[in-house]
Amino acid sequence: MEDNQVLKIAPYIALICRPAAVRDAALKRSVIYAMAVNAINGMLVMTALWIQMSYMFTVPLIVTIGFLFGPFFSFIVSSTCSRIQWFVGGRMGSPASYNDIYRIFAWSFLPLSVMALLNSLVLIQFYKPGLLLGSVTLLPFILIALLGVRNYCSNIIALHQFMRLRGAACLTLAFLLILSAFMCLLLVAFLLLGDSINELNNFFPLFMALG
Amino acid sequence: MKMPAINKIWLAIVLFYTVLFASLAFYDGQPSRNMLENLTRPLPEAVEAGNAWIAVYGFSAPQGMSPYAYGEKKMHGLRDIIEPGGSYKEQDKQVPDNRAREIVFKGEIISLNINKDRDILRYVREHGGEIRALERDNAILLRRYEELRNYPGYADPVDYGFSAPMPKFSSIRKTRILRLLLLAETAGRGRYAAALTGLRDDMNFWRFIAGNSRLIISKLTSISFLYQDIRIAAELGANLPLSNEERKIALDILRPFDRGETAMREVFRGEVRNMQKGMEKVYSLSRRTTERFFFKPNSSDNLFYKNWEDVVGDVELSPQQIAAKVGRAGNLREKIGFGFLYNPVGEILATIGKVDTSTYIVMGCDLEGYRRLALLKILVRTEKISSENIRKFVESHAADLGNPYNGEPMKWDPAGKTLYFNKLSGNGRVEIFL
Repeated sequence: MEDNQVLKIAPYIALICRPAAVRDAALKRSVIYAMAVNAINGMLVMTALWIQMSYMFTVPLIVTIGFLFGPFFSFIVSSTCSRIQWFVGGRMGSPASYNDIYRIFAWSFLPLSVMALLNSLVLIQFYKPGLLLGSVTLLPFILIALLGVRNYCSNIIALHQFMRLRGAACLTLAFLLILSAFMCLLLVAFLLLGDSINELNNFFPLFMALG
Repeated sequence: MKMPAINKIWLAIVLFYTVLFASLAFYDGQPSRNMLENLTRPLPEAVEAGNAWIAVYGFSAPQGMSPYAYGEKKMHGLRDIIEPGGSYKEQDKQVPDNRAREIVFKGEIISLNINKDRDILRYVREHGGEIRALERDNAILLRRYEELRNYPGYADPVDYGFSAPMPKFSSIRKTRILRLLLLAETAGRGRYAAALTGLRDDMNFWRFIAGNSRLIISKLTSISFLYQDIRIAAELGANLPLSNEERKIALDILRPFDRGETAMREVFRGEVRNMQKGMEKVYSLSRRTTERFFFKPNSSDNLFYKNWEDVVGDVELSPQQIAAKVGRAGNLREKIGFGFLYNPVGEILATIGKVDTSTYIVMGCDLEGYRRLALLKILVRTEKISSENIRKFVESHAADLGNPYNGEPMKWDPAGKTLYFNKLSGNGRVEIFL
């Protein structure tokens, strides 16, 4: 019985540190499965963020926000990132399909979103944690975040069938485009919020640099 | 052609979120009945002939202009800014205000802090020259102060929202203290009846203001002035050899409060209405369309009203109920619930705008307690109760002159020679020096 349980958990633990495990989990399952994982990622991250404001908001509201809006933002982020990655990779001669990139994105960050929630739950146990306590608490999260990014980058380069240098260039370009897309979203939000347009002054240098 | 399953799922997701966001953006609750009643019930107009508030507002009018005319002119100027949709921030710059020519109180005046053991009768005996000079330098303000009593009404500008101007009570406060000192001087010269009658007139005026206040600043100002009147009445009643007629006047000054003079409910109702009217102007939905997605007027008004509902209910709270409520006032900040989903701005504003009313709801009861202490002081002195017997004497008056919160007898502090009762908050006490 115990052996069975270990066998069931082991592949999920491997998702944290082994890029091949992520690739296996992602590519052996359907896109619908990846969508569900993305939705869960969104729920977990959204709840992790909002739970930090549990002094102000009720827990049922935080959970509802996580369930309702987490998947929404996750769908937007994962679709945008994957599409940009696919677009840049395609221009550089990659044969990878959009669906494969989308699946890799979803599975790469599953451990990170679980850790985000766990970390957030630990952090709210402390009232104004100091630098040392805060750093120690955040250490596992940072470690898993780094591993998650490593897994994602490694798998994307493998999917694109690029050499390291070409893969790094592709990832950097895609990252810059994602950043620009994020800035454009901010611009739209500020425009919608009327007076907040003045705040845009702070973003002009960044826009110019990106241009 | 058959649509692939993945596309069907995407379509379902897009539809779900479109419906969800549209519902959250356009949903608003129904206004609560009590909130609507408070928001729409007719209140006296602020700019109306006979309103003492206008004269109070224009109290420092330049020479040659009546306080009422000056206050009215300033209010018209303010209305001209607000009605076309001007910002309340502009009012200070644009309201016609001959500030340079305004009459201000000249000279320094003592404080009549009720907690200071200062013998007013002795003070006026020793500082007669200074008081004469103050009377001479402030003759116009003294006359204006007397004339305030001629106004038949008092209505705060509740519906002006955040643009409601605040009268400068400073000049009135100083002029009033000078008048009380002059009354004490009159009593010191043996004209007890004249002094007591003048004090009764002043007390009646501020009782009238307290009974008609609908904003907290007017109420608190009148309550603080009533404290001073009671203090002077107690001093005159306890220290002067009054005839029966004069004693009657003193007791009339210290008669129980009625007609909402110490009640706070109307003030809280006025405050919440004032706040809602202010929000209507600040969040003028006709001008900003995107804001209506995040700020729902009905739900927000309900929330603002709910914050005050405990103290603006159908019945004025008794001192005992106030005692119970103040005891429960610790957990003020309730967490934001599901309303945040469709009314985030309103929910946050209502939460951060929540006021701890416990400080204010006890003020009327404290004043009533102080009135009882003043009567006890007069009785102790006139019946020549010795220091050893004061405790017993006070206990015998527990029923009529006891602690307003619990009905227990007032306390006697022989070392400090004070009668007192503890404040509900537990911080400090309300006391009178014998």
